Amino acid sequence: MATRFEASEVREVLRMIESESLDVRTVTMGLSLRDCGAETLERTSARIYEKLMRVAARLVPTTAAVQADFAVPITTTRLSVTPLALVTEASRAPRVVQAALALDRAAGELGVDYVGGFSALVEKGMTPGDRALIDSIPEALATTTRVCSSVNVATTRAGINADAVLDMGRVVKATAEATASAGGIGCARLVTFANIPDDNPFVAGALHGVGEGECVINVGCSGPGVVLSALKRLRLSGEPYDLSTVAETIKRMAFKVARAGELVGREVARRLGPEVRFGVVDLSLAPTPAVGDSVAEILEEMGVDMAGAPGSVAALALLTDAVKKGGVMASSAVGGLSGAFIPVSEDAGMVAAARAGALSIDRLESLSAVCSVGLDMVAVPGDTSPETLAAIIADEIAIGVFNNKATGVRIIPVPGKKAGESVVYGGLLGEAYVQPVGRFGADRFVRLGGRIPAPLQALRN
Amino acid sequence: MKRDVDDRLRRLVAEVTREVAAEATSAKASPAAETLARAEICASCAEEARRRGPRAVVTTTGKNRRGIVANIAQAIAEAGGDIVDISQTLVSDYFTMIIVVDTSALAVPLADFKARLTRAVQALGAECVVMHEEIVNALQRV
Repeated sequence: MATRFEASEVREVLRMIESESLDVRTVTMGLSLRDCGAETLERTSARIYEKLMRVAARLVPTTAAVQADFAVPITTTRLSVTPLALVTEASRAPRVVQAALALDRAAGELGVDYVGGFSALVEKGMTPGDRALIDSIPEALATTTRVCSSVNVATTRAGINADAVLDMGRVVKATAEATASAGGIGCARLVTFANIPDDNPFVAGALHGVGEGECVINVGCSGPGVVLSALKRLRLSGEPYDLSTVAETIKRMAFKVARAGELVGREVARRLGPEVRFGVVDLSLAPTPAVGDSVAEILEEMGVDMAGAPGSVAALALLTDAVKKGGVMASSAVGGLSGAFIPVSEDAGMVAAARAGALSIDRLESLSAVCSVGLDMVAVPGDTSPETLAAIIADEIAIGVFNNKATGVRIIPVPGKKAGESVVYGGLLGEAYVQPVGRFGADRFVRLGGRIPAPLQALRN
Repeated sequence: MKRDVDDRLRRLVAEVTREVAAEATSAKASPAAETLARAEICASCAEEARRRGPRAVVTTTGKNRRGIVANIAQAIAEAGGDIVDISQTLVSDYFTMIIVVDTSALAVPLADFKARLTRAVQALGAECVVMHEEIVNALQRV
């Protein structure tokens, strides 16, 4: 019995792939490194390198083969590993840059784009191993090109570790300075998180959580271009429509995008053998610098003048919710961040809105209350103080903690640049427009340190 | 020489036409079976595909030119593919042809299969995309 497809159905699939940028943004292999800890950092690093080279050897060729068979582009292939502080701690080394170099070397030789997990989970306090990792971040990011680092400084259950927030203000600043010759690009691989997910396939916050199995395949969808085109067709159809029609249209497209992701993820996991499990589909709409593949343009298509204008939060809330609803219908394995990303430099529409003055840091904070991450790829003047960076991080983290959601801060104090200037990072990272941070700060507040207690919604038992 | 080629093309087109007709008849003969098969596909696309063997969807687009169906059908047959479904739409002079091919007995790797089909239609100014049937199933069937 043949499976009969309508010509229009096949054409739609081709159109989504060829002209609307439907792609699987990332296939990320999550891998436990819990068995790699040793009494010396040398030995730990050697074990890490050996395990990655052994377990992930077939990842890139397998991903390429699946891409060829299904004709769906897979933009990046990544690794995520156990938060590395847990692995390096047994060595008692005061600096663990060598472990980052082992990750970087393996990633390069395997041909993966990034490896996430140079990370520490310090929402309630810090062990000497966490301390060693956090102190190593600037040098680790400056001496590697593929390693991504994340630090979870808060959860809704534990509250906010304000000491760690201040540390991260300083680490961000030091990382920018350590990579000053490339516009502070190290900060593009560093994110400070609240409520970090255990199975997020997207960098810079990808890590393989402690409750995960030995080896899983997680997939990050993309597809802002597909949603944008569907909304354009809706408007040009001449039929009357309202916001519920818009939500319904987004939902249908999100279903298809998530289905493509799930299919690719399951197939990659199957081909890698029985010891590799399929993990989750992350339903996030992830923009690229390509025109038309933009979350900002979706808001504008809905009728908001520019991303950041009044109405943007409501429009983004509708978008994020419809994406989730379409996605959960498509897959029973939804996880990660799942929402819409608003990485400023990576989204041509966001850069344009920032440049036009419609999208300030304040507006980005408001938007982050209803989308999947927070201040993402935001460039600020190079002379922004560590305390002000920490205060910006604290605000964003508080939004996550008190709204029971993940939020992250990936901010770049671009060395030598002032508000209004630009810096080009290229590739998926795009072009950053340096945004003003205002002249007021909260130095005394962030220096108080200690913990911001968990909110009442933490007491759910 | 010319007559030989023409004869071969004619035979191929006749073969394709017979296959399509047979497919249509069998579907008509047992509507219940088709409903059942559809239900299975919906329940578990992957399971269904494994039971039935892998299939590829070959989409050819371009300006209508004499011999294009024959060219691609020949390339599919030579590679060991079995045509299980074929449909064509023509809007003014621009056509889209969709062929579902059973690839379980393919004599060459899928990548070579793709390359052969692309070569076969490019000579006539058309384009061709080959993808696993599962991707269309995943996106278009709940």
